[in-house]
Amino acid sequence: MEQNVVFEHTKFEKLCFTNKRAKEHSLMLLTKKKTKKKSYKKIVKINTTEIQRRNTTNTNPFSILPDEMILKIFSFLKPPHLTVCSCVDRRFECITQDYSLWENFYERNYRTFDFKGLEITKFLKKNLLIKTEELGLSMVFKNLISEKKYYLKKLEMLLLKPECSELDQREMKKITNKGIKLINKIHKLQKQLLLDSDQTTSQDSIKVLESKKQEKGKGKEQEHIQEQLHKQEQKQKQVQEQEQGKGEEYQKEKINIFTKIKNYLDNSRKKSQQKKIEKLKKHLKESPRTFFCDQRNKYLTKIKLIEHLQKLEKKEFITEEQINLINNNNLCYKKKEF
Amino acid sequence: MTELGKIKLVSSDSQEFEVDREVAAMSQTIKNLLEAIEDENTAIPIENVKGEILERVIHYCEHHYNHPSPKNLTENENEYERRTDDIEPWDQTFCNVEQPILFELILAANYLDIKPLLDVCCKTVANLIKECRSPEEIRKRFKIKNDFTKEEEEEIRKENAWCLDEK
Repeated sequence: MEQNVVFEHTKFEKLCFTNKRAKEHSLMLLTKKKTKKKSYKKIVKINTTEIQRRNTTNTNPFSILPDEMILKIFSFLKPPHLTVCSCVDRRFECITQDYSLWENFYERNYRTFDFKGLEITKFLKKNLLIKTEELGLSMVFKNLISEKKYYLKKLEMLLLKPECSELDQREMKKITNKGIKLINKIHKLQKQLLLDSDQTTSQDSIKVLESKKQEKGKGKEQEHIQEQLHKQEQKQKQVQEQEQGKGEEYQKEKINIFTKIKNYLDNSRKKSQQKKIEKLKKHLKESPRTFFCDQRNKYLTKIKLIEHLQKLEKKEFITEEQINLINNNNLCYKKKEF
Repeated sequence: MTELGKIKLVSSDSQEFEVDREVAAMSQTIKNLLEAIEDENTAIPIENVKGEILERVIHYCEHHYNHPSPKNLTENENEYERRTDDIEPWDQTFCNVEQPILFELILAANYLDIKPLLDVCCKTVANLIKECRSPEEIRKRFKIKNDFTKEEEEEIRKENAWCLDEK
């Protein structure tokens, strides 16, 4: 026992010669007790006992090295190798938790982490297929959409009939009412999801509003529905025409709403981001490796989710451009890291 | 009596080595000692280093004293852009030794405070680790005992799954 205690002291003392970090540390511990000259004498004595110890344990070459030296070796490794090392044994596991190993790497990649995370959540929220936790909600949304499709198809069938009886007209009214209710529900959901995420940009909200108008247009003007069903391009043109028709007042209102939403979103986004960053930094200092791995795992699950969705033929939700964007990001990310 | 400009180093197993003063001064520790010692003829005891290792260290110092490396990368290098593939060929053959010797070289380099030697040795060990793709390989290579309990190991493997699964 005594030997161990003495050895720990000398570990710090010995490193006074080289390692700045250890120097600071050892100075903290030893300034009160000893001067440097004394410590030198001790080193020589104890290191001879260390050599004896060395001879007894030939098996693991790392056992002769002090932790600081292993840290030095690890400083030449990158995260993938470090994580492999952390699984080797307890000593390695402890050493790989050292902040200095991850600090630089994290600082370099902090932004990419954050960005990628934001981008992906944004992307998912845009498409209303939110995170893994919120997948339940998105399932509801999918159901609503499919219901909407069903009603629209019925409407189409009715409209395509050459003769329109009274019964048919009543049915049409019922269906359009139901359709409008559905659309409203969908919008509420959309709004909820978008407001839940304070990181959504004002662009998103604008898009939501625009899509609202599109679909309101559908409800109000039954005559257009048939054409809207057939081609999406025509939809957009019609919406544009409608907007033009409504004149300046409408546009002023629109701008007001947009600025309000923008301000609100910007403020809340800034606050939440600050909080988030503070939280992240706390976590990072407590256990850098586990934090890094957590981030990485989250990122990977998101990527997997997206790939999964792509396989499920969600062309309505994800355009090819967006897929390409994400793939590119993914590639860049991998290149940067390794 | 030693020759002019030469000093005597004594290893832990009392082998004596005569070295040029300036070669020995590559070691920061010895340099500091030489400044402190008044009598230049006393042999300097280096009790932490075996004769076998000290011989290698002196060999390294002599070679690098006679063949100074053209670039002072160690000072200008960005700390976090640390590379392990920039070891000079002579250093590579120098470090191509058995594991115990390599690790004792690291200890000696740390004790004697010879930064380039320490860097080179650490890099070669880092390269050895890099060649391993799983914890088991590292354990085999360095004969490390696995002292995790089963539960602990599972937890850590879960945490690091992103890295272990990819390979």
